[in-house]
Amino acid sequence: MESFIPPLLMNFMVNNNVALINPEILILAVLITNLLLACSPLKKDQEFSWWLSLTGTGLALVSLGILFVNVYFPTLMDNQITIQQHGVMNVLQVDLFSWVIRTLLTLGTFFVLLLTRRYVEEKASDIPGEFYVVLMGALLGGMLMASAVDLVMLFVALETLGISSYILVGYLRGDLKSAEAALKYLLYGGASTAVLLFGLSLLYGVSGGNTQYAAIADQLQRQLAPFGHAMMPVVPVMLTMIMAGFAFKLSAAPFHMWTPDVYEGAPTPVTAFLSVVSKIAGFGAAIRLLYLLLTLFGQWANVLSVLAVLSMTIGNVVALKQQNVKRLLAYSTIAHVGYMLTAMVVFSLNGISSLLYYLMTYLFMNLGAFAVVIYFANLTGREDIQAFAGLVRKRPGLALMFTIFLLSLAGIPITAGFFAKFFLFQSVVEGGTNYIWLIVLGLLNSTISLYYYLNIVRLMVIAEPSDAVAALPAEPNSIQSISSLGVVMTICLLATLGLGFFANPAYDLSVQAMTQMAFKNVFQHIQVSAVPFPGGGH
Amino acid sequence: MTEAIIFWAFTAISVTAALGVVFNRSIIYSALLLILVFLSIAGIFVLNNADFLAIAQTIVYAVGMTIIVLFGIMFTGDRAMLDEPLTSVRKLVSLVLATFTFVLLIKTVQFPFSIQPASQSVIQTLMQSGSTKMLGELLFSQFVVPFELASVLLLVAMVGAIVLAKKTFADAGEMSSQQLSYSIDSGEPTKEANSALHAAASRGEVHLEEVTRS
Amino acid sequence: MYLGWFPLIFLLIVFAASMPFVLMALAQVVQIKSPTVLKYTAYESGMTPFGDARIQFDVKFYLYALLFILFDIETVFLFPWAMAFGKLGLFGLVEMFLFIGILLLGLVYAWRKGALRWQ
Repeated sequence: MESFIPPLLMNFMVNNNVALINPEILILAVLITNLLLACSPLKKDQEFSWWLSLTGTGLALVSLGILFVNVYFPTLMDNQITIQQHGVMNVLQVDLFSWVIRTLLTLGTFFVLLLTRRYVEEKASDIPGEFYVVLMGALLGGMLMASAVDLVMLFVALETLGISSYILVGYLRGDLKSAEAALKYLLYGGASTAVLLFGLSLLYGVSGGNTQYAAIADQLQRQLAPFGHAMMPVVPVMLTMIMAGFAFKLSAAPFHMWTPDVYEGAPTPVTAFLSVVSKIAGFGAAIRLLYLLLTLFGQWANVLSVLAVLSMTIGNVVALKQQNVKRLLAYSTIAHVGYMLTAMVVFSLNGISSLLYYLMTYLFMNLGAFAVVIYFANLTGREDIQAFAGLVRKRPGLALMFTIFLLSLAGIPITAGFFAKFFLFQSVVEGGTNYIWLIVLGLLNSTISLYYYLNIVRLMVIAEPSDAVAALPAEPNSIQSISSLGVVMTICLLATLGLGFFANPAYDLSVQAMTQMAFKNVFQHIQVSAVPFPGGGH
Repeated sequence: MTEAIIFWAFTAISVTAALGVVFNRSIIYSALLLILVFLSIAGIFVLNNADFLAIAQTIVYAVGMTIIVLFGIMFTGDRAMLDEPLTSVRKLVSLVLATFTFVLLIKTVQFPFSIQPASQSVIQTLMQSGSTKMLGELLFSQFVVPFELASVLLLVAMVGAIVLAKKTFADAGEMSSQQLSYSIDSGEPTKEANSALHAAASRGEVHLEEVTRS
Repeated sequence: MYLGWFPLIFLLIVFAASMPFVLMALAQVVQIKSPTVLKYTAYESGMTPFGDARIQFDVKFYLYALLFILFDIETVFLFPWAMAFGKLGLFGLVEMFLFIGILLLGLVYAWRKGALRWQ
């Protein structure tokens, strides 16, 4: 194979570690093949694009696995933190951290693809193929976002994910709700992108005209030293804009207004994509950039704590009176973003590592919940919570799985969700007495969330069957659509329980990823005192 | 000296035109004045050695964006804008916000950071051949990944624009039978639906008697 | 300060912008005025205008505007490439072909889907 590549190109590829972004190249190839397929005169009602995208995403997962064995596993065995260059073309840092995020993104998209089987063909019958083109574009943007260590790269990747998401939300042409959701998302998203870009441009200016994170860190530290931190008016403006931009993308309160409407109007698999894959990509990029900024402007973490508390409280309280299950999951997403932000407030090694572990578990439990919702909607055509009443009589397996996903989202022991919250709050405790109020509010909010999660469980188990459930036939009626949804539910179920049983290895992996990322990304350039992490420590 | 005169001339034009954009009652005139704003800002870019930025400003903003804006106005019609009176509360809020942003921006640019001075060779090149060439070199060395990703971004945007903005996808002579049933269900078969129906009937996919019966 | 051709371009813009005014002024100066009512009516088959010139346009124009601006942005990327081509060599050529190739795919798609055809 190598002999076919011209030596000049080969040299270029080896020198720039191009092999590290093989999964991205694979996804790009799938995108282009899908588009060619959409252009071709072949019959469009076949599921060929779907199979192609599924295979391509699966191959990308395999390629990520090979990368792990060849590149990242050896660094885990090494007790010393090896300062190994994983940079691609100076704009990407493809380290273990980005490997974890990219794997989560690819896995999430793989599940979303399984959820979309037949869905797109049925709802947008004349143009099913383009859906996968845009979905692959979104995945590509998200994956590159997770490794971006350059402002230009970050922005282009962010926009690729963003614009693809707007299109996916509005994909059900002729459905007014979908169109409204797409328009709202576009307007809010566009405004937030403009704010973020303004912040980034100020960062570029303040750091003396650098776009690379490492150089920015270097310059900022040099320039700030004589002044004392953050006294210049430009710094608060810049940080506010960047944080507000990311808060919009992560749908953290008070920038969450778009979330419920968009989630409700979007096609349900797209809602699953937005609530899981987009959020993980957003956190991946936010961790890298805010890492750099919070290391220099530590006191700004307090702003994040306000965002965290607002998100938790608003998400959970408003979720209490939701009738539509998609809106409920939207508010639940806002609440989970709030929990995850507390880890960034404390900003210790354990804090950020527990955030990474939280993202892992969140992927499986939330996608599992969405798979159940889609399955139920396929059966009954209903999305309101009341329709789930008495489900255990007709579909005990489905009711049990939904119960486990909901318990995990609520953070009940033995599920992965419990350990995620446990590690998170533990890291906040380690952060010191300053953060006690965060713990109290976090626990209080978890208790509130129990009510609405368990309410669904109560309905499913105790209440009399709703008319939708009563009308269900005894046997599954469509083998085809069940099998792929069943795969998602089963894997998510196993992973939700498995990440609970094997919480420690997964957590250790997060710690390793964060340690390597921190040292390579920032600290080889910054001379922070002896402790590399400002708050608490390892 | 000449430079200063040209700079202030462009600044005066752009500020006046921008005020015109805001205060003009006709939204079409506002959009046209926007072109003048963009062009005069392009002139300021030229004075600052940013020749590429000036070209990009002209091509993308003065031409492309303005066309989008004008089309957007023409699709909606400006009645809605004219009929709605601006309440004093709204005016006051806008005034406060605008003033706040203005003060903030002024404060923001007055920071005492030192921009790294460019090297002599860079200044030499800038003087002799402008910034476009240097940008080209940067674009194809350091920023080659974002550059290629930008093409994917534009491609996805193009596909999305077509998917969302196009009404039917069946005009290429291959309207599916499912769509045919939609257009028939709506009561009035459209002209395209009719012709596509006959085309489908001639291919043997649909029987016309059945359709007319239903 | 690097100016290149910009002063000439600026002069051209000024010249072009002043042309209509110059011509109208010229017409005012050299014309012979003898107005009658008939001369101010529409000529031959022309109609007296009624209503407003501002009508609501069909939204299908928008697709063309969107496609235009996307290719417009592509053009912008071509300038720095062309200027630096001598130094970039084969690598630049390959990268640019990739860039244009991917965008060309979009054009092929638009063409195939009849987005360029007037409905």
